[in-house]
Amino acid sequence: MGETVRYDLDNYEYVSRALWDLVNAYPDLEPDEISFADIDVETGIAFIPTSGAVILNEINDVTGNTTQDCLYPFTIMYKAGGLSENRKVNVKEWLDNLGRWLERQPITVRGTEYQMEQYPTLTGNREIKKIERTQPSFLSEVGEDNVETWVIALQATYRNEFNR
Amino acid sequence: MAKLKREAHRLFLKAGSKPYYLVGKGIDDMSVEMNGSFETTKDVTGETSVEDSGYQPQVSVEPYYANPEDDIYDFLKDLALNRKSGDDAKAKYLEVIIEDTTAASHEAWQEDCRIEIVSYGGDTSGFQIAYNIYPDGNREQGTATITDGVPTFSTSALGGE
Repeated sequence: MGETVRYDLDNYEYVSRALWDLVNAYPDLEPDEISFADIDVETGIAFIPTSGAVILNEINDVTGNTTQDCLYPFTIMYKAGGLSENRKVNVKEWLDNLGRWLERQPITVRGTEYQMEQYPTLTGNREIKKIERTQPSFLSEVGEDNVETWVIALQATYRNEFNR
Repeated sequence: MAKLKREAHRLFLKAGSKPYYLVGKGIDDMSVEMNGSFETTKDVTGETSVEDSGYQPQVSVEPYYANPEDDIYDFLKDLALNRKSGDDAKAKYLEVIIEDTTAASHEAWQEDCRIEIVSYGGDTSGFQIAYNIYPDGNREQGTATITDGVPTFSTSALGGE
């Protein structure tokens, strides 16, 4: 019988907000912005949590302190219509570059190199440990009027500590 | 009274003039190994007797994830990286039993100790310094008050609240 999946319900809201703010700090974003789980029918970019934050590991230590390592899967969805072949490539590259930037790899935007020095500080005793792509960007759907939806899947690992 | 939680037994370590540091963060299993030397013998009359030469207690602390903000960090780093031992490895440790979390003071025992660095480095989860605590005499029983997580030991008797 499989183990019960436990979700970090208390910190989900804080981490969601922090990740949403982070993706909106992407150097190659302006003048656009990434919405939260809300995307227009024909165009837009959205940050979409895939599911709740799962508690991967929990240590209850001898001092009464609890440390949880949690996994927060999410996608970035890019929707646009009437894309030429070149534009399709650009959209895919834009998403892959966003993924690299979130992984704290160096990226080049319009001739300038960017690299995230560290993940943003979270409130309370929470810390983002890493963000990584789980899939390269791909064409998820072609809808009516040839509106294309490109998606990149990522996951953030964060740590939460509290006294029991 | 219900059984005590694991965190009812707290162990603190102090080096030099720094305040006591709570040992065991991130460790889900840590014990004072008593290493008792007890021997039972049975004589020809069928009687059993026990001889003992006491205890040689020891505490293994692993892992300790090095954090420059910890009061014990500089001391452990110095022992490890400068290969120090002997008098340089002396410290004090304090054990507190918290039977009532609402009480102002708790039973406590303070003793001299020596620190042995077992290893340092570790895996990619963080820079770790594993060490052993060896009690080294001058054990005193008293009480401790804990304020903002930092204990203050006193050899005055219990009941003075």
